[in-house]
Amino acid sequence: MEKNNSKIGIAEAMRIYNGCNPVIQTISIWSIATLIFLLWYIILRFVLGSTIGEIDQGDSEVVNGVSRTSFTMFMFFTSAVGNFIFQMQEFYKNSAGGKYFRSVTGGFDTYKMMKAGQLLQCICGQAFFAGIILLLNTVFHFVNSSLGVCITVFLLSLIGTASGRLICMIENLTAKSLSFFPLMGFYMLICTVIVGVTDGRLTSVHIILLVLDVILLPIAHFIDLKNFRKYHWYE
Amino acid sequence: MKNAVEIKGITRYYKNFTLGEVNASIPCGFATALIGANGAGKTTLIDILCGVNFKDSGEAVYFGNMTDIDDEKLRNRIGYCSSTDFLPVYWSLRNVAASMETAFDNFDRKKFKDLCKRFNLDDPDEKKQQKIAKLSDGNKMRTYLAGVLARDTDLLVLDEPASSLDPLARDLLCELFREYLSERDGERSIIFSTHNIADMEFATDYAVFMSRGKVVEEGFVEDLKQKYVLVHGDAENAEKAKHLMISFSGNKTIFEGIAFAEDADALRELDAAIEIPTLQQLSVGILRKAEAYGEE
Repeated sequence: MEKNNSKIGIAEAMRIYNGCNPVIQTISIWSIATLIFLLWYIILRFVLGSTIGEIDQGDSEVVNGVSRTSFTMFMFFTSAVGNFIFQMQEFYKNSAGGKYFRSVTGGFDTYKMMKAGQLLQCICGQAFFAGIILLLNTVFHFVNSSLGVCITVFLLSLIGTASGRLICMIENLTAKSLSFFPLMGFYMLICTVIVGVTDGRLTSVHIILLVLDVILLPIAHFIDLKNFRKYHWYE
Repeated sequence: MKNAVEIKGITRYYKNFTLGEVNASIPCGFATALIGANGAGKTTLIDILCGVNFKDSGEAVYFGNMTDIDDEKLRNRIGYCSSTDFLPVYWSLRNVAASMETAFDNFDRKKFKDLCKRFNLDDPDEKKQQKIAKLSDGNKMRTYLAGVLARDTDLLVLDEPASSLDPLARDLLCELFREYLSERDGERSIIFSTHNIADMEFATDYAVFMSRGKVVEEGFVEDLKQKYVLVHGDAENAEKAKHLMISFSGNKTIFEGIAFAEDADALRELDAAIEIPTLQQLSVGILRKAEAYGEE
């Protein structure tokens, strides 16, 4: 059962597990996430703008500060939901498709490739999302210091991805969801604090976040794989 | 005779159930039915044979010389389908085709389209398609079967393919089994588990009976019909006939059951009518005997 003779690559493995092109899937899901984010943000901006306008008679600094905080929060939240969609797919033997995936060419090697692809999909998807938002912000100028905001959200989302991989090891979907979202809420808080403290500038905090990403992502990935092989692949 | 699969002492231990030791020979070129009560171990055995479950000991030899189920070449030669939720429910036929043609070297998209048509499913090339989740159980099974049969395999291993199908679809399945076997006469084989023995008898050449995790009988259906007889008689002779029979049921007026053909003459002397049993009657007799023996 240990023999590794699979010639299936990451893209093929993802196509086997998703039944579609992974690039198109990533772009589609993150484009929808971007649209939802923009919609939320625009509505919020109107609501906040009118509320703060009433309180502060249009103090632009306050409006911009609140606006950037809400922008960061919603951006991180959207990113977390995107993450959740990709990561919370279940491949247990008794889940729908579980037996099919165990019978395909490559067996566990194909699963391993798919999980690596899924991780890449999360990283690229979040980068795509942050990039699009940055681009849109350059054109429409929603908030100040958008580069710092987008990079902070991206780097913290990757920590969220790593944490999500570990949370994936919980079998019960309700427990999984109940663990995932509070943790993402905590990261969202950290994200807004970092953006507030650094005032949207790139600082050494971002280098620390990057280092954490580089360390945590592969560790979480391998722990998850090892756990799945040991406890769930053959069950 | 060549064997498609030779099962040598396969065992699998669970907390409340043990499979095995299972020893059986699945002949090449025929359709083999795995018959047994719920919980007899049919699904566990099928899953082990297809690399979906692992075995604690024993070995399965495929096509005479292949033993490693993780070998890509072997996986490509086996078409497997489980009884429920074989594919993700959020997939459509297009996803099934895309996944299967990447997962296996021998998936034929055109054949898949033809099979979908024969099973009265949507066209997999159509833009708007229903998700598997929205299909009835019968149509879900049709989708799985279309996917598996669209591959150019040497062995089909199907777990209860007929259970959710309507009579017409069962008939079509039997027809497809015959087509599959006759396409490369003598080289292809089918293993399927079933509870719909009467409907699938037409498609069954060889039968393996399982009870409580073990194989209790196996053989070509025609040979089994010569080995066993169906016995009917009047209740007044029931007690005398009972000890000659392997399974027995009766009421105040008549009795019925299965006996070995070698005891037919002795049973005739008791005014019992001897008939050739159907596979369904054989199964009930053999499994009843095995269950009773197991309880003892």
